[in-house]
Formats: sequence, structure tokens, C-alpha cells
Amino acid sequence: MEASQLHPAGANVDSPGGRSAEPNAMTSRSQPAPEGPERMLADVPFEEEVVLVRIDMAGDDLEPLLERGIVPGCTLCPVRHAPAGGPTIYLVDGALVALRKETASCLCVRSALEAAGVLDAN
Amino acid sequence: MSAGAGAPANGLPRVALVGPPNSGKSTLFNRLTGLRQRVANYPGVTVERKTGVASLPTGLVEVTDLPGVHGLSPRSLDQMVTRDVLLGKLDNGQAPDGVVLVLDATRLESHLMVAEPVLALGLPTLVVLTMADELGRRDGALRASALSRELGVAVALVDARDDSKLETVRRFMEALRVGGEEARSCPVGVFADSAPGASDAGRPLPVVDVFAARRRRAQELGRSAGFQPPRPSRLTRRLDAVLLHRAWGPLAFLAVVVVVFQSIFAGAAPLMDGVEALVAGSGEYLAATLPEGWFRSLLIDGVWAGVGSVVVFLPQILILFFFIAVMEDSGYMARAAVIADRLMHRAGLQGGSFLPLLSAYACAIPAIMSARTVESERDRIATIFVAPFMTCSARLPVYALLIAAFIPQGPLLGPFFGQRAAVMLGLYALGLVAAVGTAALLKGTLLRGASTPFVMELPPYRWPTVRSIADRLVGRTKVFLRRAGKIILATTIVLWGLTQVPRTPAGEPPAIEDSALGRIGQAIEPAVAPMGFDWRIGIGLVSSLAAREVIVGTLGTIYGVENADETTIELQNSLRRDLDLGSAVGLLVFFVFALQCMSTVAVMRRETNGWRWPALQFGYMLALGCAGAWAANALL
Repeated sequence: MEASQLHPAGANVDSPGGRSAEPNAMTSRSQPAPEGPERMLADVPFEEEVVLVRIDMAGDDLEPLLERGIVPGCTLCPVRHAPAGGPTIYLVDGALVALRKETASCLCVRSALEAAGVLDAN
Repeated sequence: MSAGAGAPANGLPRVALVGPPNSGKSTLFNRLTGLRQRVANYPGVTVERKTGVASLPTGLVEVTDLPGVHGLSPRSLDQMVTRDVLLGKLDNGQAPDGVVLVLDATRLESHLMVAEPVLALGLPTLVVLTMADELGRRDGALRASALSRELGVAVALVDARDDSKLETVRRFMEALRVGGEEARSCPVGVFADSAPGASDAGRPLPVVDVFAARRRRAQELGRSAGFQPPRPSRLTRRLDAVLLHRAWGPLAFLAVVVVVFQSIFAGAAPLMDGVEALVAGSGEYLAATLPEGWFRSLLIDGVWAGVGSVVVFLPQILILFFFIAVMEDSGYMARAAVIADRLMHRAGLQGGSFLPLLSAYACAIPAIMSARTVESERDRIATIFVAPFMTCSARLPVYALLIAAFIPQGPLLGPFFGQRAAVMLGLYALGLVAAVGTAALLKGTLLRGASTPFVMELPPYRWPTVRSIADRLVGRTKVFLRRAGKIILATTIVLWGLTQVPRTPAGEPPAIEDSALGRIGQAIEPAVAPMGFDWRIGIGLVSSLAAREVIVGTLGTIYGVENADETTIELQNSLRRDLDLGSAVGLLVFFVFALQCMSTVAVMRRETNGWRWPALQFGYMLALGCAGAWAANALL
């Protein structure tokens, strides 16, 4: 997804449902912090593109995710829920991947715009 | 499978096809080998070994289609086997002479992550980038020559569905036969900065870091090759908007299930009648041709009956595999698994278990075989353990006979839903409840463990091709006939033998009650009596171990009713004399639960690589069957 299609300016980084690993690190977008606010993927609204920061999961369960390109640095964007409360479907570097909520709750992400800002600032 | 199935001894050069699932690997395999294929298991494991022979101008090359993998780490059987084949640990310790690494060009960067461990082996490798047509159609681009320079091996951009574009692959295989530049060994340093898995200090890198480094290198390679990712598929977006819609999605899913179900039962019926008539007609012809005697009896009552009872299910199997192939090739199968996931998750299974369980309504054997698509080993075992509870078509003749004999023909809810239909539906529901309960029990006990992450890739929708579907139908049918046919044939011949001895003083076969089979029935009568069954039903239960529907013919033999089937009134009357309502319902319940199918046991043994699971499954289902029949007999 192109940046122009994203939800405006990572508006949900402070969403009530979001979990910030480092609440004190949140800064305005004009002065991006080295570490942007982090949330779990399950809390990201549709159409917002995020970057994977880390995976909070035991070793054995990691590989199916890693092998499908869900590695720190990849971009993810929730595109739709499966019917009847099933898994959520994400665009992962251009491919569609379905993840259950409990898996998405282990993926720590940061807004793609924030991440881009960090890169620019560096 | 023979023990030597994994040990080619034909002296042909060997090429292994490796790649991620949905990369077009099997399509390429079918194109290269045509129908010159055979399927077996690797020795000691349940992973299929698909081999074929490609005919080239200078001779033949053996091609092996390895399972679709996302990497070579030994976290799954498929990946373990692929790694061992490439390292030469299988196949008599010989690594393949060359590797064709098949990657989806539309997903170049993520698929190049799979390439790293394969290229690192240093075998002569050709990288085949499939879906070239789709890449172009969706405005993507890449330069195969630039990627070839970066990787140090030949790279071919092809459309695996188009034979004319496979010349590079054939040239590579030709070079393996006669030697040539195309078959040069792969330089191992391509991914050197990401591959070692060890830090400078010599400690292993965390697995996340290894994959992150691999991804970075794959992206660099993509950039060097001028990779322009294709725009998202419009067709996929539009279809998903309907097929995964909150309301339309489940409706479409339900419609697909109904169509599959209806086709398997209603659509297959005339074809099954045709096959049955063909088997019966040819049997009668043989009976009329051959002189009377034990050989004719063995051939007609043993071999022909055994073969007939397997091939009669072929139309259902073909229809089922047709739908599976269409759903897989079109991309809908992954969506169906996603839609079913929540429901299956509640039973301790996962979305991928849905289709095998649906298939089990036709026959548990293909269902157990198709459970290989379930990635988690615990979920796969649970799926194949509960699959035989689903009401397979072999139960239908038994249900039809007993329902017609004991349940009155009368309306229950209006003119369209009668008492007999209600009982039939109840039997289906009972099987489903037993399957769900057993899955939950297994996942809470023997297969207990943290729930495996459900990660399902949804490929873009594609039109299935007739050739690809036909190739798969032929392959699956051969596997079904070989696996189910052998055991059912052996069992029916043994049962036939038991009806033939001891011979009478005149040298004739004995009456059924005096035969070895009859004596077995009488010996087990005390065991079946609490369920309300006598020795006749006892014999029926023993004979139906070959296949459930065999009980109908056996009871016909015992009661002296010629050419008995489930609609024979005389047989229904005989049953009414020997069974009351309680024992008849008990018999129905017994058939809902008990694993009266040796072919299923045999396939289960193959798929779990041992006797532990089939023995447990047989004992558990038998215990449930006996308990259920006893309860029904006691209560009614």
C-alpha cells in the first residue's frame, strides 16, 4: 500500500486500545523519537500500515511467522476480518496472510509513518 | 510403498523441484513429466515422494517434486524430508544432481528468503520464476538476467502453465545429463552475510535475527534485479469483498459446502450405480464362463466382491477430489479454511481441518490423506483421528437397511420431513457430535499443548486449468485405489476363506453357521448379546470389518436371501424377526461409532507411521460403539 493511502498521519498511535511499550517516548510527529510508540498488531485499525518491531512469542511458534516474511522490519496492514469473528487478514509486504487475534496480540508494531520518520531523522 | 521407494536405482540423473507452496512447483512437475509419475512415501515418514521421468532429446531425467516448504529448518516433516533429500541423507545417501528452485515471481522478495538455505547447499541450481504472465499483467517487472548475475546461477522467468516457455528448464536438465554451463554448481556465498546463523563471537544468532538478515538480503537482491512488485490483484480484492464479507462470505461458504455435498451424494449416485452394474455384470459373466469350484468362488465371492466394494466409491472420490483441486487451484480453499477457523478452533482444531472432515462424509480414506495440508502435527493427528466419525457413504446402505426395517414411514414435520429422514439426520448429527467431543478430549489430553499459531497465506485467485485438475485427479485416484484396494481385497479373501472351511464330507463348502466364520460368530455371541445381537449379527459385525457395507451382503448370505441389498424386503423381514427396536437402534449406533473399516486403519497406520494411533483409534471407537449399542438396547 502506498503511503498516500494510509490512514492520516498514524492517527491511531494513541488509540485507547493501544498498548505503548514506552509511553514516555511518545513525541510529536515533527520530532520523531528514536523509538516510536509501540502497539500490538491486534489493536491496529483497518487500512493503517504498520512496521513490525518485535514478536513476543516462544521460539517454537516463531518460525511459521518468520518463514512467511513476518520478520521485524516488514510492513503489515489489516485489510479485513474474516466473517463470524474469524482471523484477521493482513497485507504483509504485498501478500495476504490471515492471523488469529491471539497471534496478532504477540506482534509489536509501530506506525509505518513513525518508522519512516525515524529513518528520515537518522 | 515398498521399502525401496526412496531409493532410486535406475541410474538416471536426478533433479529435485524445491519451492514454497503455491509457487507453481507441482504444475511445473506435471508439465515436465506428464503422466510418467509415481507416488510413494519416503521410508519411515508420511511425506509423499512424487517422482516422474522427463523425456529429453538425449535421454531421461528423474524429477522429484519435493513438498512445498517455507524453509529447510526441521520444524515440520515436509521441511525435514526436503532438507534430508537435498543433503543426500535419503535416496541411498545421494544428493540430487541438480535442483530446480521454483519461486513465485510476483512474490520475489519473500520467496527469495526460501532460496537462501537451498542455494547455500552449493548444488547445481536453476532458479525458475513462475507466474511471469501474472507479474506482467499486474504491472510488475524484474530482470531475470540481473538476478542471475547476483545469484550466480541461471534464472528463468516462465509461466509454468505454458509448455513453450519451459525450454530453459529442459536445457538445464539436458546439461545435467551431458554436462554444460547451465548445470554449474551454485556459488555458496550469495547469502554469505545472512546465512551463517552465527554472530562474530561464534554464538548462534537468535532465529529472528537470521530471518531479518535473510529478508534484508532478499530485498537487496530484488532491488538489484529491478523488481517492481505487482499492484494488488483487483480480481482478488473484488472477490474477497464478497467471499469474505460478513454476511455473503458465510453464505457463499455454505453454498459451496452444499454443492460439494450434493454432488458427492446425488451427483455420484448414477455413476455409482453404473460402476456397480459393471462389476456385477462382469462377475456374472465370469461366473457363467468359469467351471464351478473353489477357484470360481474365490474369484467371484472373494476377489470380485472385494474389488467391487472399492471401485464403487470411485465416482464419489473423483467428484470430491475434483472439488478439492478446483478450490485449491482457484485460491478459495485458503479462504474456506479462514472462514471455518473459528468453528474448528472451538473444537480444538484449526481451519485447515475443515476440508478433510468434509471429505470424510464421502470416505475417511481420502480425508485422512488430505489432512496432510494441516501444518500443525497435533492438529493433523486430531483431524485424522476424528475423521472416521463423520458419516461416510459406506454407512449409508447399513443405515438404509435398518431404518427401512424398523422405523415407520410417517411424517414428522410436514410432508417434507419424515421420521426416517429424522433418524438419518440424527445419525449424521451423532457422528458429528462424537467427532467434536473426541477432538476436544484429545486436545485436552494426549495432544495437549499450546495452540499453534494459525498463519494462513491467501494466494491471489487464479483460474484453475483443466490439465492441472486432470493431472491431480489421475494421481489421487491411483493412490486411493492402491492403498484402499490392497487391504480390502486381502480382508475379503480372508473372510471368503473362513466361509469355505471346514468342508463337508462331500467336499462342499459348509453351511454358514457351520463354517469357520459362523463359529467365530457363535464364539463372540456372549460378547455381543448385551447389545441385543445374536451370532448372525456377530458374523455381520466381523465381516463388516472389511468395509461397513459388507454386512448387508453377509446378512443376505446368512438369511439365505440371494442378491441382497439394503432395499430387499425379505432381508428386512428376517431382521425384524431377530432384532427388536432397541437392538436395531443399538446396531445403528454401533455403526455410527465403531471403526468397521480396515482400509481406514491401514491408511491411518501409514499416515501416523506406526500402529499406536490406529490401535488407539480402533479400540476407542469400538468401545464407544459397544457402549452406545448397549445403552440403546437397554433404554429402548
